Amino acid sequence: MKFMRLIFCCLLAISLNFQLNAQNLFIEYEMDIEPIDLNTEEAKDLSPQVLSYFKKQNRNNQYISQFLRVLVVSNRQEFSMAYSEVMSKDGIGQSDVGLAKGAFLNAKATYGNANNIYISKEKYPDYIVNVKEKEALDWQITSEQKEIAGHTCFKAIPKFKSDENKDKIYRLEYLWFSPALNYVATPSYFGTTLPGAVLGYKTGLAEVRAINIKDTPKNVSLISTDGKKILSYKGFNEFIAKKAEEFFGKN
Amino acid sequence: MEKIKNLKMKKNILLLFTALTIFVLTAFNTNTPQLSSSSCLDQAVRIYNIAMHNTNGNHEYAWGQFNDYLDSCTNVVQLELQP
Repeated sequence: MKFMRLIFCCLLAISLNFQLNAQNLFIEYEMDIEPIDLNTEEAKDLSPQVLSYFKKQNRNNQYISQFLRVLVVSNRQEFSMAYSEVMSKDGIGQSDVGLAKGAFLNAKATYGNANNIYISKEKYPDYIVNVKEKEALDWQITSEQKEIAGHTCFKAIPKFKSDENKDKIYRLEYLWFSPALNYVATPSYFGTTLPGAVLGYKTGLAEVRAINIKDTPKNVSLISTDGKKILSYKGFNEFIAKKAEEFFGKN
Repeated sequence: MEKIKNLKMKKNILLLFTALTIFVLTAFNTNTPQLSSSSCLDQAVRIYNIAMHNTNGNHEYAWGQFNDYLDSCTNVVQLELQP
C-alpha cells in the first residue's frame, strides 16, 4: 500500500512539474532580409569586386533566411532568445550565416525581463550588451491590428528619447504585440514593456514574424555575466569604433 | 659557305625566339595575383565606409562587413599565390 502511495505521489509530482514547465511559451519566428540597395548614387562608383561582394551577400541572405529562425522561450516574466542552427552547405559558410544574423540582430543569444535585456556576442565573448528599454524609448500604441500566427496583434511605434540609436539597420521601425499572450517576449532588443508578447518586429534591414507559438517544457536560458564586461548599446558601439580606429591607425 | 650562313641564321632565329618567349612569359606572368593584399585592404575600407554610411554609424555592422571582406579577399590572394 505504501509503495502504491509512493508511486501515486511520484506521478502527481511529475505531472505537476510538467504542467508548471508547460506554462512556458515557445515562439518561432521566420525572417525576411531586405537586399542591400545597389541602385544608389554611392553604389555607382563601386569597384567590380565590392559590387560582387554585396551581390553575393544579398543572394546568401535570401538563401539563408529560408532556414534561419529566431527562437524565443518565455516564462511570462523573463525570456531568452537564440537563433536556430543553419548547416553550412553549397558554398554557404558560418561567416555567411553570421552576416545574415547580423542583418537582424548581431547576437549569439539574449536574455531579458521587463527592465533589462542582456545580449551575448558571437565574436566578442568577453562582452555583454545591456539595453534598458524604459530609458531608451516610449511607445505609441496604435489601433492598427493584424493577425499573426492566429493571434490578434496591435502595432506599436517606438518614440526614442534620444538620437543615440539612430542607425538604419537595427533601429526598430515598429513591432506587433499580442495582448492575449501575457508574456514578456521579444525577438530583439525592444518590446519588453508592452502588455503582450511581440510577434512581429521590423527594423531597417529585416522583418521577423511569428510562425509557430506553443507551450513548452523548455526553460528560459540565462546568460552568465560573470567576469564579463557589461556595456550599453552606445558603449559597445564606441568599443568597436575604437577597435576600428586602432586598426586603421596602424595600417 | 652557304650552309654556314643558313646555320647562323637559324641560330639567330632560335635566339630571337627564345628571347621573345622569355619576354612574353615575364611580362604576362600568369602566376601574378590579380588581387594584392593592399587592394584587399583598400576594398575592405570602402566596404566599411559604405556600411557606415548605410547604417548611419553602426560600427559593429560596418566592422563585421570589413573583416568578412578582408578574410575572404585574403583567402583568394593566398590561393592565387599558391604555386
